[in-house]
Amino acid sequence: MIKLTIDGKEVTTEPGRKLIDVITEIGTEIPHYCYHKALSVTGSCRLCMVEVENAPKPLIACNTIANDGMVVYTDTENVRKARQVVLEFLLLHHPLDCPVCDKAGECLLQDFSFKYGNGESRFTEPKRVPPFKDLGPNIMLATTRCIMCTRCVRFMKEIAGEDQLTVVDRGSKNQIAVVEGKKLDHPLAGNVVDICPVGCLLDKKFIHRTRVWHLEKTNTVCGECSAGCNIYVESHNNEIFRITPKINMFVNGFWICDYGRYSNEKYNDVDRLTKPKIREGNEQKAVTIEEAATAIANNFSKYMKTKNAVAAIVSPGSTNEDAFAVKESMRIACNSEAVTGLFAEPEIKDEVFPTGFTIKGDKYPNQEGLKLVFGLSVPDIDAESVLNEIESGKIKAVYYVKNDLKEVPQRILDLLEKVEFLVVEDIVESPLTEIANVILPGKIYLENYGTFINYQKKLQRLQTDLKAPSGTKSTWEIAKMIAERMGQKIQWNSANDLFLMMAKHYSDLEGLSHFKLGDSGKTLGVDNKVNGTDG
Amino acid sequence: MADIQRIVMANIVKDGYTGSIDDYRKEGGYTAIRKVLLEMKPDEVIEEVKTSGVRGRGGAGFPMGIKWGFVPKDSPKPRYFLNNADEGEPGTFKDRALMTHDPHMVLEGQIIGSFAIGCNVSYIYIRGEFYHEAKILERAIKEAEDAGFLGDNILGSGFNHRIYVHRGAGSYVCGEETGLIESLEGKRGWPRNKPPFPAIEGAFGCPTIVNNVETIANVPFIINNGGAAFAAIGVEKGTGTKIYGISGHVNKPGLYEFQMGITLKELIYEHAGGVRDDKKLKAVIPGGVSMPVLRADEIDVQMDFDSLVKVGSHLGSGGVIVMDETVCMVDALLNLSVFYAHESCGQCTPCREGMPWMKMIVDRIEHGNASEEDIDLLYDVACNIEGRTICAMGEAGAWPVKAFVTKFREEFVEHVKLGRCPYNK
Repeated sequence: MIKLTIDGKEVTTEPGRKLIDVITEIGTEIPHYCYHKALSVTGSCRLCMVEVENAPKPLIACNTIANDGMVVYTDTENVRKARQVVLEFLLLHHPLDCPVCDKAGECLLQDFSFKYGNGESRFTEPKRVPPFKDLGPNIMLATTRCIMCTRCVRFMKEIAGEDQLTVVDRGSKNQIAVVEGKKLDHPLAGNVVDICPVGCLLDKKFIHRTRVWHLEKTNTVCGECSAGCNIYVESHNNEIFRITPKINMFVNGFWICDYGRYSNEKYNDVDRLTKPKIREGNEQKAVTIEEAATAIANNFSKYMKTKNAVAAIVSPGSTNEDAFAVKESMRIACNSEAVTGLFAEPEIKDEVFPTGFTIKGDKYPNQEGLKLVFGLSVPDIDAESVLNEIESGKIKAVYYVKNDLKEVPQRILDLLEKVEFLVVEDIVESPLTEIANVILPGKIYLENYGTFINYQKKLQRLQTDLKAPSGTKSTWEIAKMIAERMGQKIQWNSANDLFLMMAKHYSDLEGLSHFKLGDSGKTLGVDNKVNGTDG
Repeated sequence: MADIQRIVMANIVKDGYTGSIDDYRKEGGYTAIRKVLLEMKPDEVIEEVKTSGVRGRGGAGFPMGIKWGFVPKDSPKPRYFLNNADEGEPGTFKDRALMTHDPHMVLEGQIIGSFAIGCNVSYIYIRGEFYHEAKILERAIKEAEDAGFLGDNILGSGFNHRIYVHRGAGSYVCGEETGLIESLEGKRGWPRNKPPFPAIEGAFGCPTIVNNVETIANVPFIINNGGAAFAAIGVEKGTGTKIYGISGHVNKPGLYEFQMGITLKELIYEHAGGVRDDKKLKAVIPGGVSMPVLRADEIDVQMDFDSLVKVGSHLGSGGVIVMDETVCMVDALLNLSVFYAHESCGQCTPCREGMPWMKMIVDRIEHGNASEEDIDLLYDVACNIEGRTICAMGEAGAWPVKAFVTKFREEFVEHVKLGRCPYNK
């Protein structure tokens, strides 16, 4: 360990670290643009200057290694002057079009100019006005606002692993551009918008739609694959405007992929189911949720005298809490332990990028969770045995929880057609709902509370600010209604209640609660102990 | 020994000298390499160069032997020796002459330097415009290979070495050593932050030495005659000779090699034939355009590293630009500012934004669209760039502006007051 003095405070840290990291960690702000923790150091913005005793001039904190005995000042006349000078240079040709710029409100050029800059410009010459550029399907370049920090270029090279962006021309004519013959269409490309410190790289799906200060940010977990990236869902008036990465160094680092980033679109584009329906002959008639629950209860009651005649199939896109609620109501009310998920080997391979960021081929977020909740050691065999019992006619009624837009394999559809009574909880009409006796309108994970367990056995929490379409219900609510209508008393009133029940039930979850999971989750140890030290 | 005036141009000035390998060997060329490879250890070579006190002739004046000594002895990585032939400083044309007329002296120096740091592949990074010179060097390399001074097991010493010529693509900043390295690696010529210095981590991440052509050309002499003999030439902390490239308003412009310490006055009036048409001298830039300009009353100064620092300038590359009374200093500065604005690589903020800004202000002053505050603004912008950039280009562009404005302020004020350039007929 080394000791250094920062603004008179003694600080102890490991050797070999960058000064900017050490200073930022103790809560002192060092304004900077080009430096990014996950990227190589270029030292080009020249804003992060600090004074170091015995150094002839201010040094950039990003390219200075903290040494034992170093005496550092972050707020001297020289430092203030250096910041002011750099900010003046950066604003010379800046169009100052904050009123129409989507970055306004979260723009570092705005923030630092306000805090450290000069109120007035001494620049009276005409400004450069290079034309805006279209870089790819989702991203455009508001060229006039660029400050040449090259974070985007370095991101594409170092994190995404494909040089799609570069710098063209020289000097003040420098511009970010797409490499000749390419498009900015990499699955991680959306991240360049997040790391752009100014309003230069813009998401075409976000521009001119809202102001960032209107957005409500909720941190939750992406459900598009088993990686479990931490995300912010940013919404206003119940509309998702964008999804951005939330930093979690144990899971996704600073990034998310574009499949997750734009995942809300596919749910926006569909007609959601909002009314329960009951089949009468060839017609499906809209009913109230109470009528639907009663119909289900009545039918399930017919079969439950035989053990395991009623079964539940839960999609691995469901939360642990929902899966547990289904399992419990089956056990308590339906005399059944035939509960499973549909586990399939992913058809596509994982996409792994140079620094390890991974887009999983397994497009379900919670296979690990379902294995835990259903106590399945060999999941596909267990699932297969349920399917076999449907085939053999032993299982008469099925409650199928789907709630995603994925296709159900024809083989499963054929099997389910044989079932005497099929309840489907889903979000849109599909071949599966067509053969259902009762259809229940469910919620998507973006509208849900609960937990997922990712492929690394990281247990993480889902939260939401969104109101699901009226008429939809959480799986745990529906499971409760069915069980209650079958004469059982059900304890749970929220996903939180269910998690506490699970914490008592499963040794892996012992002592945990939603609250204790915090913002970065917990890794379930391979030795079945809760690893409470990370995150 | 101490009255030796020519080292690197000693051959060139001889009648009939063609620069071929035969001519070079007739003049005693490729004897130093024999001595080095067969009789000396690398450390002894470095010590000899340290003793000579020879400082870099490219502009910064860093002692060559000390630089070579920075290469880590225990590094398992290959080392690279780079010959910086990206001679782009306006007013400087000495390296071009050396490469054209005595390429083997440069090559011999480069092979010795490479031996000293344990490098088996070295490069000559030559500016793209020097097409002809690149061809000459390539021919010379071929001659040296054929004569056994390059290749495997040179002179039976067991030392292998190859030299490659790499042509730049026309950028001033690629003469900055780390910009040069980036460019050599096939990247944009954007200088690197230091540390790490190239001697520790340079080309391809390996220990690398970058030396100027003229500096390297001194090495055979140092080996042949000993570092002490070299140190006896010139002045203290400015040993040896220097090529002064004199251009501008003199009667006999050209390259002149003299001992360090000759006065600027003597150079101009006794050797370069004085100011043309007996006009009055107005200003002299002593070492390439990046170095602060001197007024006519400041030229009684010795042309060596330390003496020029005392009058607020630098020896730089030794490119002396002489300006007589007909020169408009604002116009001259405009010319330079256009150059720096054009050549800024654009990587770091102060240089990218500051250089064009200064150009615009000087342009307005020259054309009479400025106020006196603009002169102060110009000076302030130059101060704001200086010391805040990744490479020395910040200083290179700021120093001339500061010197012009300080030393010839009355001309700037006159432009502002007249609302036009007084020299504009």
